[in-house]
Amino acid sequence: MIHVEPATAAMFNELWPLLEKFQNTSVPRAWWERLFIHPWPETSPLRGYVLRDDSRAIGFFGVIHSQRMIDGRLEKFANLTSWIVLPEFRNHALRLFQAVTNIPDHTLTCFTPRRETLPFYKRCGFQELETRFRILLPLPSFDVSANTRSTTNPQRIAAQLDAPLRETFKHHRFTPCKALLLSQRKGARQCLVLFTRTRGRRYAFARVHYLSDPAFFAENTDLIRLRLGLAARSLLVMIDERMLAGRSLKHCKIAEMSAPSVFRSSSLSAGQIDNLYSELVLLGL
Amino acid sequence: MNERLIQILSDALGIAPDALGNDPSMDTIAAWDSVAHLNIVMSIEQEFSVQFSPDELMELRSASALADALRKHNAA
Repeated sequence: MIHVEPATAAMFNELWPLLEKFQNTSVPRAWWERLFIHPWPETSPLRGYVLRDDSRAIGFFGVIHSQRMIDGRLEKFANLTSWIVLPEFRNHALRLFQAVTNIPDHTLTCFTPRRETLPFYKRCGFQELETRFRILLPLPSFDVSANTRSTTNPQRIAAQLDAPLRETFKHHRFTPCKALLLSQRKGARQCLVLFTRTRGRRYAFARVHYLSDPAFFAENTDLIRLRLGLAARSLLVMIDERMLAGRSLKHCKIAEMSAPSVFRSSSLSAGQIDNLYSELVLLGL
Repeated sequence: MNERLIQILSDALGIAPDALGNDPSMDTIAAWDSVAHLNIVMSIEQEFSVQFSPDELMELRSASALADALRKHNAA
């Protein structure tokens, strides 16, 4: 009898062979385990749904829950990840999709939908979250402002952040995410940048998942290019277009994503949603 | 069963109409996966000039359920 049941953190060892069979990146087992044991406070015991043929696990659709304060409101998120079903049971895959899209009162995000599944998301009320990257080109950094200092030292970063940003930073401290903090020497402006070293098809690049001040970020492009490039051991820096809130960057090009990320929300617009608390930061994608 | 509906299922699943059985469904036809399902639903919507809701998209997993939905939409 084929059925769907909720997945819990305790099921990781049972589901690992299934995840391992389908993973198409060199993500270590310990990172996959983070989909089940989150480094931030638990807001739900649900880790997704398992498709079973009697007791045998034949499919999985992961869910990463989180809560964020956005514009003074507590928003609940469910990030959808790893929709996998053994080939001989693909005719039952829709049951998993139905289960995750029925999670009520949450903003649902999916950063890595396969192109052929996009029509399903769209038919179920999902909109495009992002379609384009801004890529900082690997050019020498000449215009580094003397009034901006930067650090990747976690202790220094934690000491300089206000309480809400410090909490976000700490929640990502033990994920593949790294942090860069830009701050004015004379002045109070600062920008926290959270990023991963991500492997593309041909190159590794620094992928920005969060930036706290798009204007300050845009004013310090050369410094960011230099610091992120060194920290991620990469010549390229990629930023989701929406995170820049329309600001232009020097020496960059725009690239289309192979498939857009999508979201469904009754309270948030795309510009209010970053990539944190998701599979992107847990798996370093 | 509606002949146009059976023909759409046959075309989308690559199975001859008389080999589909009495009430083909996602549970009984291995080729009826989520991508095939979307093709079936969209073909039916086009053929019968109807629009199914997201809930219907998920629930219409058999030929009989699709036929019932078409009757409900006065499209059969």
